[in-house]
Amino acid sequence: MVLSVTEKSYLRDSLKNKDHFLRPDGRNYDQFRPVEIYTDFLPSSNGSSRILASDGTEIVISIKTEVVDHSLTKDLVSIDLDITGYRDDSAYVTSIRSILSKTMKSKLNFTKEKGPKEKSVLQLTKKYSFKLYIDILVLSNYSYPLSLISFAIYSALETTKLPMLISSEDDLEIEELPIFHDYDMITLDFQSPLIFLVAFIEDNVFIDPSDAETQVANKCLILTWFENKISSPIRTVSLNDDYTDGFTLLHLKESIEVVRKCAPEVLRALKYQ
Amino acid sequence: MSDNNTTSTATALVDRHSNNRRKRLSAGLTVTSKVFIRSRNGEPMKIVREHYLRNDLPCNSQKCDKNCKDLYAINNSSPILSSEPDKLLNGAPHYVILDANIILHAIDLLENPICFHDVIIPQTALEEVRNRSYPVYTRLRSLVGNDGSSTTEDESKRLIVYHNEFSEITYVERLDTDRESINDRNDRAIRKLCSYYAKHLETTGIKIVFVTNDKDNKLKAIKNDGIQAVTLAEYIELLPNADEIRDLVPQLESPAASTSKDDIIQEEFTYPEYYSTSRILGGLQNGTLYRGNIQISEFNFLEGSISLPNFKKPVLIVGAKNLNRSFNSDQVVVELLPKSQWKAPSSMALDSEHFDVGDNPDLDDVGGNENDEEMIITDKERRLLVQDAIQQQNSNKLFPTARVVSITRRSWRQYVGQLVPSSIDKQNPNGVQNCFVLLMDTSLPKIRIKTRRALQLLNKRIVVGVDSWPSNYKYPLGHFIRELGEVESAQAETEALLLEHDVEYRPFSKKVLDCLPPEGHDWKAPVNLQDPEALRKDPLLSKRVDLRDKLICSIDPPGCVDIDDALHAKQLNNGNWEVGVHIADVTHFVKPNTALDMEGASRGTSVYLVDKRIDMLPMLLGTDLCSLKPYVDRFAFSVIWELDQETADIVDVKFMKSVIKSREAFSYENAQLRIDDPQQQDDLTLGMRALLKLSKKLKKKRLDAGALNLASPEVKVHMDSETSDPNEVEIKKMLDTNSLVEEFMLLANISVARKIYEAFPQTAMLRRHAAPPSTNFELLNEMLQIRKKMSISLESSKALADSLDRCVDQNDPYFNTLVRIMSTRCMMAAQYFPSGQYSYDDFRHYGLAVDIYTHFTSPIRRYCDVVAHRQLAGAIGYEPLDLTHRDKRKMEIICKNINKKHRNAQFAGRASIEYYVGQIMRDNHSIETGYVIKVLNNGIVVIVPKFGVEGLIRLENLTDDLSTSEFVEDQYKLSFKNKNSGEMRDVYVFDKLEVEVKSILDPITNKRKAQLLLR
Repeated sequence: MVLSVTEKSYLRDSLKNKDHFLRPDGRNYDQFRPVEIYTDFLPSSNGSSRILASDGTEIVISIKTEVVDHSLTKDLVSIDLDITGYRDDSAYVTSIRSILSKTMKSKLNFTKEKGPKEKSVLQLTKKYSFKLYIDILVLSNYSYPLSLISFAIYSALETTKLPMLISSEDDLEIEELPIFHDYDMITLDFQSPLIFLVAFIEDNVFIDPSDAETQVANKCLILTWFENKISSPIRTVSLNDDYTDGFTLLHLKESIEVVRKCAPEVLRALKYQ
Repeated sequence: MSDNNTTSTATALVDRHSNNRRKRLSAGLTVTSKVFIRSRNGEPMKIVREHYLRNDLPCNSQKCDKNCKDLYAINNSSPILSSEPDKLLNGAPHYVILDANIILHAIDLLENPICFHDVIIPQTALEEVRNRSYPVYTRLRSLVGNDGSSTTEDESKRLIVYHNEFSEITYVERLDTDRESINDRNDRAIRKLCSYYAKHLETTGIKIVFVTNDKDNKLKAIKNDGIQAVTLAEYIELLPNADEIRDLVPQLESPAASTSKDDIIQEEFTYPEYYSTSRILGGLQNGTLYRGNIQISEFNFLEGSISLPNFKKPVLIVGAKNLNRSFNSDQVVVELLPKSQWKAPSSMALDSEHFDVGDNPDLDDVGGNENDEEMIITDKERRLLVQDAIQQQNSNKLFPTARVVSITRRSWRQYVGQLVPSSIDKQNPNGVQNCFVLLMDTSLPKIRIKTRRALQLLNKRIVVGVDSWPSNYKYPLGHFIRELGEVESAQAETEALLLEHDVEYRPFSKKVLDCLPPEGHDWKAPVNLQDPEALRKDPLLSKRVDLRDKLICSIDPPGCVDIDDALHAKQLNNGNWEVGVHIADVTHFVKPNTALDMEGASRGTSVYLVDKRIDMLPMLLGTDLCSLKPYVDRFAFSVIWELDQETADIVDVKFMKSVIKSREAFSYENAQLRIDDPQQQDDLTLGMRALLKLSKKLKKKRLDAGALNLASPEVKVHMDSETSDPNEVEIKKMLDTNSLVEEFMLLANISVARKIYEAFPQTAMLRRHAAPPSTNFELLNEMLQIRKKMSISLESSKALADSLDRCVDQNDPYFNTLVRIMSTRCMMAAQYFPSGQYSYDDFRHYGLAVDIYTHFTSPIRRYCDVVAHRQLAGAIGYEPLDLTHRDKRKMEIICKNINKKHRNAQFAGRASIEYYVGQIMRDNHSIETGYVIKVLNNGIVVIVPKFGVEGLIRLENLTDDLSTSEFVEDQYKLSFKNKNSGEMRDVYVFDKLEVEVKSILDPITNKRKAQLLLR
């Protein structure tokens, strides 16, 4: 919904005032809109989730796997993003996809054990690894979906089950083709990063901006939360053309502060079971 | 700014959907889903299938008092399980439910009429059987009477399959808890079925007995479900007629009653364990392991070879440990051995019958323990080894060797053999004892069986099955199935050789016979092809051509009753000849996809033994309705050419379904006499003379093109007409009339091949004969070169034919035939194939020197011809071709089977002749001329043309002093001190020898064979 100049001005005024900070839906600066998440509903996928935001944004995620020789395939994750109403090659879609890919790739290649026994969470044997295919379908989209997508990926990965290897893991010298158990699966032991969007107007910062809020916000900061701390990438994104002020160190500090405060709560809420 | 309610709104609703919930679709139908992982090429695939369940599956018991009886009406079936089933010793009537392991190991027992009546096969078990062993599955399937076409002979068995996987009541889901394996789940499904039946039939008084050899399953069945569960052995003991059956119980891998004595002894010898599946797949993919069919040497049962795609020559596998429990023609995976273990193929003759005959079946250990140093060789090094091995094959000295690391598919079947007398403890006539069974096929190891009737079975041909070969047993374990009769009784020997060559000789089943025309022998071809009554029955009749006015006759061997072909010739006004070949129209009676067709396809060919013919099709068709008998109207498939009178070139060719009337059925001799008799000047004789003249031209053209004239020592056995005892052996003679028929049949086959290939380029049924690879002739050529300064040229079939003609020894007219016989053995076997399988250039028939060939002229006795008939009928628009013959994959399956059956039939025929030749020689031994065809380290192989027999003369029989013998491999020479004269004697390959031929009964194998002794 595009706001009129008057509406924008009113909204901005109510959001920029430090003392009378008022969000249009009455939320606190560190409060999220309610979301509903359904997981593991696609039987033929390894993991899946569906997230519904209160503004009507709906995202479906399916995770599938393939076994690859990791000496030949460097990328162990492939992200496919489709947003209803946008062309696949539009800047909107490509920018979100690139943020997601970068985040996921850097985190998934992360090794559990450092040193000589270095091993990615996706590594299966000395020769083979799983490759994850994350298919994201944004069915309806009423606010910038990046944060919700990261939540959905988190939930989907949380329930992702990978086939269980029953052959030996050491196949470097004497090659073996991986053989899997015909039924049993193991849960992927990986907590994917959460991405938070923090908007700011003048000195105020507030998390999870709605569509209307992003239309009047100066800029939004994208912050990543991984392994219980703020992590890269941290970026800014402009979601309107009217207000293009930069951000100050204070903004960044406060944004980090608010994410630090919310993230554990969000994680707890997203936790399966 | 308050932040106390942050968490409340950030709460996500997490809902878990379960996949395994059943959903009712309609009354009696629910759907659930099955999830499983399929590993293929290292790739796991998650597969989700919808699975439908119903509640209207009847229990199939005649005594059922529940509402099952309402359910039969739907399928128009009736309950099968008897209301008066067999009683156990304690008097309880019972039905049996079988676990998959019982079916797999005791299928012979299931087929046996003395036990297992009223059996319920759980679908779960049936599917497991299908996955584990397809042959057992098909045998079981043919026992099961509830597929809507139960036949009378199976009724006494009353086997049913209960589809428990599709029944709402008995379906069980896999448990997520405890990581339940699929086997555990299947066991549980079968137990659930048992409880269902037990409860369902409780009021009828019929007990359910669950037979399983799985200890765990049995225990759970008794404890958790309260089912009467027993092992197979226990079950047999429960039966009133246990004594009859006990011996037939197969031995299983871990016999429950394995004595401690067994355990200790077997530790001394162990075969290497097989590799894991993942290693096999990985190795096959990266080219360090190879898969192929192993061929055990007929001379040495401890030496096998395997043809691998990358290698020019077969790779050797030497020694028991390297063969690692493989049977001849098993599909195995091999790994190359390190270079230090490569060796030359042995020139020793060694067969299981004369090897370790003193082995005690209770002391199953082996002497020669090689120090097997297990070295780890990486795949990289292995690939280099493969390179080396391929290079090495170019030289003749050393051969790469390999060892078997896994057996993909066992070729196990039923085997015929006899007990090894020395393995029997005669002191213990009635107790159970382990004994060895020596198989007729000497390339196979002895089988260890347990029996308490050892003494009765001595000197009998018996059939045994192989059960397992655990790595700590030197010999495979098997069980007795049945006896065929006394050794050397004609009936037992014939049955034995049919079994050994996998020839189906049981009478045709009722299902098959039901497909025959109801008129039986009274069937007649319609007099008038336009008769509306006949047309109504067979609308295709109007497409038939009436050729009853042609002067057609047939020429066959004397006494032939299945007349496939007939001929006619007539001069046309332009001087050219109209020649017709008329082939029995078998496909008029054998329609595709009928039981009759399936039976024919599976038999593949008729088998001709000395005293017996095993038909591919029922007698009614073969010898009457299809047979082109003289003086009666018969349907035929005709090929009619216009042949140039001078050159015998084809001017025109036509194909048609026809109705003919043969004027006369000649034997080759009679036809020859009639042609030669100048008194005969009637049209029929004139036609025959023209055919003869044309056939000679055709033959000349064929030979000029390079057709081969090879030889095999074919003999014919004459039987006494009264006692049907064999009394004379004769080498087959060829008359002009033989080749008359042959030439026109070749011509017909070629013409038909062209036509069906044109119509069905992908699936035409053709026959090819590949050019022999030069390596096949290497040895023969080297022998010829060294001994006779001759050689066989392999550039083309023409060159080969010419060089064979040049191989003449002035002093010995038979030498040329000998070379031809030996060349024949170097040739490739001709094979059937669907045209899409090879490119046109590879269609070539090398032996006949034609570019394309098929078999069309003997549909009564060959299935290939039946297919060719259908395809030709399709090609000329007579009737549409059935889909089976238009599907490349299905055609490949058909071809594979008929190739195998064809080969087996040839072997069976030869074995039959060999047996009868042995019988004839039994009483009269004579001195005959023989030729050396192979020189070995410890003997020579000699062929005796007069009887068509060949045999090994062992060094022990050549000389008394083994130390004097010297084997010169590159000279093909064996020197030894002559037994009789005491002088040194050299024997070379191709030498002509006087040998004493007598037939002896081998004391160990009880096999009569020609014993050759050097004079």
